[in-house]
Amino acid sequence: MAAEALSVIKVRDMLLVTVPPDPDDETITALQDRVLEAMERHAPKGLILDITTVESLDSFFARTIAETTQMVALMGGLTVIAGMRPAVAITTTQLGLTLGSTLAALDVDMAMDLLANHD
Amino acid sequence: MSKNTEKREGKKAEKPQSKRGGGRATPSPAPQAEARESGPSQGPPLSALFDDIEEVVVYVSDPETYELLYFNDAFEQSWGNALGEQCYKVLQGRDAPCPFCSNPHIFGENLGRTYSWEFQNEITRRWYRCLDKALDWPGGRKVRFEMAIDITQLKEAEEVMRAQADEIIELSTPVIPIWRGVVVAPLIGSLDSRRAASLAEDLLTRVAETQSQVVLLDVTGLAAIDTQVAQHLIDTITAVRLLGARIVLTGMRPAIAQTLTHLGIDLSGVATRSSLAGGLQIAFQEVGMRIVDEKAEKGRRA
Amino acid sequence: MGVPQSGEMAIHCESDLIQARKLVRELTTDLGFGVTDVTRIITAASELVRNIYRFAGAGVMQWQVLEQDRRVGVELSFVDHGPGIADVEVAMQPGFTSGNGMGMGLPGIKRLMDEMELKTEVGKGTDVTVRKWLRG
Repeated sequence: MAAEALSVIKVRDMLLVTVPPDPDDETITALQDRVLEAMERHAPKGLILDITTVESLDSFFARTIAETTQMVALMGGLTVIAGMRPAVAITTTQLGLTLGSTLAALDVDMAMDLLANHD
Repeated sequence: MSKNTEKREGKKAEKPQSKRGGGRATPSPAPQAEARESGPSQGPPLSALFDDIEEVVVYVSDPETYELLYFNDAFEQSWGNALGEQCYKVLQGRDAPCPFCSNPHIFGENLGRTYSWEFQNEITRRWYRCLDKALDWPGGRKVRFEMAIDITQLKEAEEVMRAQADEIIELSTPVIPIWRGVVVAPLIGSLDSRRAASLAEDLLTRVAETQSQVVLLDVTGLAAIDTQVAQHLIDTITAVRLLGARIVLTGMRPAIAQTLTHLGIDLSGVATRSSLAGGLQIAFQEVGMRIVDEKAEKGRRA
Repeated sequence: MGVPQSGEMAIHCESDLIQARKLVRELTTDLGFGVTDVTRIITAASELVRNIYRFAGAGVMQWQVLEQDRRVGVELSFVDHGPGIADVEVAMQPGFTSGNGMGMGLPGIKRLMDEMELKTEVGKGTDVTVRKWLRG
C-alpha cells in the first residue's frame, strides 16, 4: 500500500483515517503528517484511526500512534483507534507495547459516539 | 485376549491329562495324591470350579503362614506357579505381610463376611476388584479365599473420562452475553499460562463478535492467585481495553484481595467489585441503563 | 503452499520488512497456526527484521519448518554482522523495551514465541533464533 493511497476524511467535526492492512513504515510516517495537516486546516474535535483491517502492529507503528495522539492533543483533539482485532490486541499487550493516551472503541460508530460525548 | 486363549489351549494340548496351572492344595495331613481332591471341607473342590476360568483370578492362602494353598490358571499366568510360597511375596513382591492385608476384614469378628475392595497390583500393574472371604479348609483351619476380577479397562476408561472432564473445566471459560453490550466470564479453577492464553483469545474474540463494551470477569471461582496469574489478568484487561471495551473484575473475595495487595499488584484503574451485582450496576451505567428497584420506589412514594 | 519448508531471505532495507511479514504470514498460515499465533509470529519477525536494518544495516532471515516428536513448529533465525549486544542480561530483562539499539524489545519477543535463543558478540554480530510450536 503506497502512502499516496491514504485518505484522511473529514466527517462533521472529526477526522477519519482508514489504515491499510499491512502498512509499511513510509505509510505510517505519512499518516502522521497528513493527520497533522488536516488538524491544522479543520480544527476538528478528534481523530479516528480505523484499524479494523490491520493484521499486525509492531513497535514502530505503536510508537507512531502514541506520538500522533500526543501531537493531536497538543492541537486540541482526541485520538481514538477503532476496531483493533483480538489477535492484534493480544500480541500488542504481550509484546509490552502501549499506545499512550490513545482511546479505543470497538468500531468507528462507537468511536464517533465517544468523540461526540466528550467535552 | 484371544492371544491368551490360544496360548493356553496350546499348553493344554501338550499335556491334556494333567491339569496344570491350578496349584494343588496340600493340607498337611493329606498325602500328595489326594491333593487334587482337597479344597473346602464341603462342596466341590476349588480346582473343579475355578481352574479354567480365565477372567477371574482365584487363590487361597493360610492367614497364619500366608502360604498359598491353591490358585487357578489365571493366577499362574500372571504370578507363576508359587504353591506353598507366601502370598505377599508372590503377589506383591514384599518381604513381609502387606500393610493393607484384608485378612482383618474376613477373620476374627468379621468371620463369615465378604470383603470387597479394589487395588492396583504392583507386579502386573493391573487393577482388580477383589472379593475376599474366609473358607473352611480340611483339617479344621480357616483359610483366606480371594476372587479377583481384572477391571483395568474400566479404570482406564474412568481415568480418560476424568481427564476429559478436568480438561473441560480447566480449559474453557464461558463468555456469556447477558445484555446488549455486556458479557460475563466466570473464571473457575486454576489459571496457568496455557489456560490464560486461551482465555484471552476466547474473551477478546467474543467481545469483538458481540461488540460488547463491558466484560464482567468474575473471579469468585478462581482457586488461587499468584504473581503469574495476576499478570495474565492484567494482560487480558489491557488487551480488552485496546479493543475499546472495559473489564470489571467481580467476585473479589477477601483472600484474593489480600493476596493481590501482598504481591504488590496494582489494579488501580481497574474497576473491581466484591459481587457480580455490583459489577452489573457498573455495566448497565456504561451502556446507558439504570436499574430501578420498583418496590423501594413505590415505598418511598407511599 | 507457496513457501518452501526452509530458506532464507536477505534483509537490507525497509521494503524487505513487508516481504518478510508476507512470507511469515503465508508460512505459518499454511502450517495451520491460528490467527493469534500467526499475528504473534509476524509481529516477532517484524521486530527482529527491523532491528537488523536499523542497527546492523543488513542481515538475513532464515526459516525452517520443524517436525519433532510428532510436533510441528516453525523456526526463524535473524542473523547479522552488526554491532552485537553489549549487555545481554540487561537486554533480556523484562521491561527493557524502551532501550535504543540492537536487542531492544527482546523480552517482549520472547513472550510472543515458545522458545528464543540469542547468540551475540560485540563487533561481530547477532543471531536470534525463535520457535513456535503448533498447539496440539
